[in-house]
Amino acid sequence: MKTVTKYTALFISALFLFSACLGDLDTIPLDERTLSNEDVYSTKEGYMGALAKCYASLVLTGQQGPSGDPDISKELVDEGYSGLVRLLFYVQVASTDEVNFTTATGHGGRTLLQHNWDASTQITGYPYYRLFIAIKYCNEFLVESEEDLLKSRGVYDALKDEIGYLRSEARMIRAYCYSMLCDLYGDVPFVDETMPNQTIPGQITRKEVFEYVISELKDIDNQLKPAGTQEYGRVDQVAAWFLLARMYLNAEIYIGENKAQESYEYAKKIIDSNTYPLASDYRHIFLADNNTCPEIIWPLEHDATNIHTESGSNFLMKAFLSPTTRSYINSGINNDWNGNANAKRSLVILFNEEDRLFKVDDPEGNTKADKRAQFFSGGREDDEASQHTIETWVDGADYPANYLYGYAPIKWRNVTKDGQELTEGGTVYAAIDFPLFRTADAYLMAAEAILRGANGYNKTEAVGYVNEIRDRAYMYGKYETAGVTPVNGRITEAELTLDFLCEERSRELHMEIMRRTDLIRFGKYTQGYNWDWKGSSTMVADGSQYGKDIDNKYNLFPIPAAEFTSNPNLKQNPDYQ
Amino acid sequence: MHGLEDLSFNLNLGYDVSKADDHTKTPTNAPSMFTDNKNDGTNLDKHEIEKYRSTLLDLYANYNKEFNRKHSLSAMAGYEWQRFWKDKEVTQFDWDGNDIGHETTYEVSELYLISFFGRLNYSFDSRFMLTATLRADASSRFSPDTRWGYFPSIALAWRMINEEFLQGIDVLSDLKLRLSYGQTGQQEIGSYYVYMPMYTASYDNARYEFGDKWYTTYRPNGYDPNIKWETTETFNIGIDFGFLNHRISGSVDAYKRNTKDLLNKITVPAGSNFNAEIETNIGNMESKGVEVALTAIPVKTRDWEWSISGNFTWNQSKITKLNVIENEDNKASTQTGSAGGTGYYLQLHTTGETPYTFYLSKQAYDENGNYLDGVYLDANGEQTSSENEKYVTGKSSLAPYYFGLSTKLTYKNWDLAINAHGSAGNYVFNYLKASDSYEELYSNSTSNNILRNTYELKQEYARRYSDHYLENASFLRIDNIRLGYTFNNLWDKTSSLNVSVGIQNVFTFSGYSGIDPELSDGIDRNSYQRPRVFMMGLNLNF
Repeated sequence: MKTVTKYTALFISALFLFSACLGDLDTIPLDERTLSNEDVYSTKEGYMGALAKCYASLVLTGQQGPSGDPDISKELVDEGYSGLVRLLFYVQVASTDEVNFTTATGHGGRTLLQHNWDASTQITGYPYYRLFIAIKYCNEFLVESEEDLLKSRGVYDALKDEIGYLRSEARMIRAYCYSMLCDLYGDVPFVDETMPNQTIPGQITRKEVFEYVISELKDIDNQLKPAGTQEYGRVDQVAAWFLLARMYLNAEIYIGENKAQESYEYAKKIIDSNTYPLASDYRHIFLADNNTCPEIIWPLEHDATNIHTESGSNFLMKAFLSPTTRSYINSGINNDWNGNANAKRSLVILFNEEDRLFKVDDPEGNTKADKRAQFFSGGREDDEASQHTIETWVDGADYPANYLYGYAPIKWRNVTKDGQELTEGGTVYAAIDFPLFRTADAYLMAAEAILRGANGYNKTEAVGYVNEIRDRAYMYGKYETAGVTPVNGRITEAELTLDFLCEERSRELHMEIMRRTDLIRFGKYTQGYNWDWKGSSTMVADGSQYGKDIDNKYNLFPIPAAEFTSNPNLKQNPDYQ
Repeated sequence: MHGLEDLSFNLNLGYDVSKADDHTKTPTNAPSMFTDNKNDGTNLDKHEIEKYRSTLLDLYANYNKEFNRKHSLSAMAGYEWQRFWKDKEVTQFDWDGNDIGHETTYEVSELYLISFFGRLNYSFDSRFMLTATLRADASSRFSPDTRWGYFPSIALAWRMINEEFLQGIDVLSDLKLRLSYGQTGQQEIGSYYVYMPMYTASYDNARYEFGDKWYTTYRPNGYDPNIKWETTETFNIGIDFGFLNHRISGSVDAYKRNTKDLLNKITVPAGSNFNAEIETNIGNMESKGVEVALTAIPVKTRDWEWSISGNFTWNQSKITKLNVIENEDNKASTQTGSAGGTGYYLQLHTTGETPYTFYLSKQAYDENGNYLDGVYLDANGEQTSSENEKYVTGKSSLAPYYFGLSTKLTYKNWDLAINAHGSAGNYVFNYLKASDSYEELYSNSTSNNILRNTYELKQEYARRYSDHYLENASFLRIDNIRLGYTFNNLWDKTSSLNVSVGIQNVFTFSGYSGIDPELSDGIDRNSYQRPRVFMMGLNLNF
């Protein structure tokens, strides 16, 4: 009997042992960096952090700076490339008349110069993944910020005043991403917060994407914070007006309808509200302390300590600088990528001859006529190794693949308005916020909309907007400042044509990730307008260096080939099949 | 166990701990310190420390009983608990220990596996044997809804050699017929928390500012909440035999296996999940095959003994179903076999084909059979410069045939052993050659070397999908040769010393042009060479 009792006791204690251990199966992640969604959304900080991720996904490449924990798996997209600004820069600027990547040919970079990409080219497919992952983050925020969930988590009281704004901001970011998908790829898959995780998104037409973006923006117009009342880094109403103005201006391309009047109305709203007045000096927009620049409607933040990324303005500076170039200018950074890229001749010649050149004793260009002409063409005359040619070619020879063939654009400087570096000797990472939306663009959109039929073709009004931009660029009239030579750069009504506007947009907004969209709208991207090496098949300067017409299929990028294996119901863009 | 002699308890406890520290010190002004670290030549002292701790507990009870000398029964029931813990920590400072702006990174995780199992054995008259088992396994990798898997099995054996009608046949020393059906489970995939919707908090240098307040950002990660056990059920029939008093013995087995809910990592369409690659149950697979094992002892005398044994397997696996969308031809497929990252996939899982089948472009050659760089053949046999016209090659990295051989020769106190193994019909893609090009020669401001193959073929750009680089990697590898001598009766009857010399990784016979044909995923991304080891051994027994 005793032995039976002994063994029964043992058996029962074993059962307790088992049940305790069964609880182990519910283990949760151990490190502080990994949290369940219940943990994240249990505080207001968590909600703010989740929205911050929606914003940050347009700047950073992952959760670790500058890289190491990518948002998109590195099997699919190289992390260093995967930041939005860098990716859009490749497809929207490198494939146009503005910029030339001399040695950075990885991931299909050369196809942007020669216009011969296809569905398996990596660099033209990467933006697709970045835009969709940002959309997913916004969708998730919207799902988790439903009122019922806020109440059941006990954060409703802490958030009830803000939550409307936070949700509308997530929708704004999502609308922006869909606007870029519409622009780059046309007919794309659609996914919003009503679709549970793992739903395979179905494809909609370009027109349906356009209509969705418009309806979202109109819906959130009065849900976003009113103009000028929002804290730095977050979007307000004006951002929605801006994107509406842009979408309507491009409606002819997206849906084949002229919506110039609607575009004009929203652009005018921005100008008239005067919440984001033009900066007093063009050059201030691209400096390290441009968080104080009043003109930027939606800044994509960068910071020398807290936002480290190889994408964004860090990329815009370092790809275009070499140690030699930096020795002549006040760059504010202590390193570079040794001259991967420079400007095409076709960009430089948009400025008058005097302005194109760099003066060693006036590196900021205070004596220039048009202060927007910021190029490095060479240092002291005796410094031969610093001399650039304006041409990105040598007659009769192979493509030079060399930084010195072509001027270097230098408008991005990591110093303050007073020319101060952030750290002595320069920082490792640039702190220049990228101006995603800025008022000068609204002025030019208003002028263009008028020329396209808005407000009764009121050319006087249009030329007024353009001259406002030019006065600021030339630091003339009310923009006159001590120490800077004022020059009259105004144009007459007769000089204001669509062709002129196309050039003016490049002078004002070069490198700001919209050039391809503009060229397509002006009908100059594929045919009728050439630039360095456009469409070259030989890469030899036997005439190819002047560029030629390319097939109209290149007005759209192909949906990446990898998508078709996992989603065979997708249809590829025409002529890429 | 006292009181119940037929019952015994058994408890096993295990603890395993390991630590690896990868310590790199790069000096000031080393070239890599200008393109990495702080980009200004600052030196770097980096530790990547990985720690592992595993704990095991298993407890089982055994009950054995014989009845009437003809029936014998044994039963076993048990419980097993395992915990796997791992940690990876990366710290980066300069040589003086100063903070240079790299945050210390941590990754800690743990896994628990719990099982309950039982087995019943019944044997009748040493001629018939029946075994039935049942396992209930749970893994913390899966959600509470899917974490338990139940795996039964049953096996029957007929010891024909003990039958009356075979008693006179002397040449036959063993004959046994076996039949079995069983299910096993697999949960090894991805991280330890694969089913959970998890968020990753950002590091301090990846935050965002609202107003004047910096916020840590929280990112949702890809997951599949429904991920569950991969189950394989196997039907097996086999025969064990022996001839001439076991001078020749062996077995032949034929099997058919159905695996459902295969666990794998697949690419999913953009917008469907929080990452482009998700670990999930991807589909079903069917395998069938035959295994033959044979041992022979051709020489057995007082001084000499020589035995040879070999095993040979033929296996054919096919994907029967994939849980992804089908296209018009009712074929579903998913890419795999990533070649060096960044979007190049070389293999495919598709219904009706072997898993890991290569999916490549058809290389074009001229009339004389010369390689045409950058020219491929499309589906109609026309030449094209697009490398997107890919086809299912029908060749996979999985080997349809594999085999092993070993032989042992002893003469008095000498012993010689040779082991070899190999496979046939497996393919390897030489990505190292395919991805090399003249374009590689100059990049940024440094120049690189190129392979002879690139030079000979004048390969201008990387040809990552060309089937020219798909090679048959059948091989036979002599794994080791060992020669030894034993000194007996050193100081008493039980003491002996064996001295041996041996070579490991002796030689590999293969037609594959790369370094090593034996690559688990069949993609040669510059595999690390297996060392050839020359050994000397001393083995003392007492």
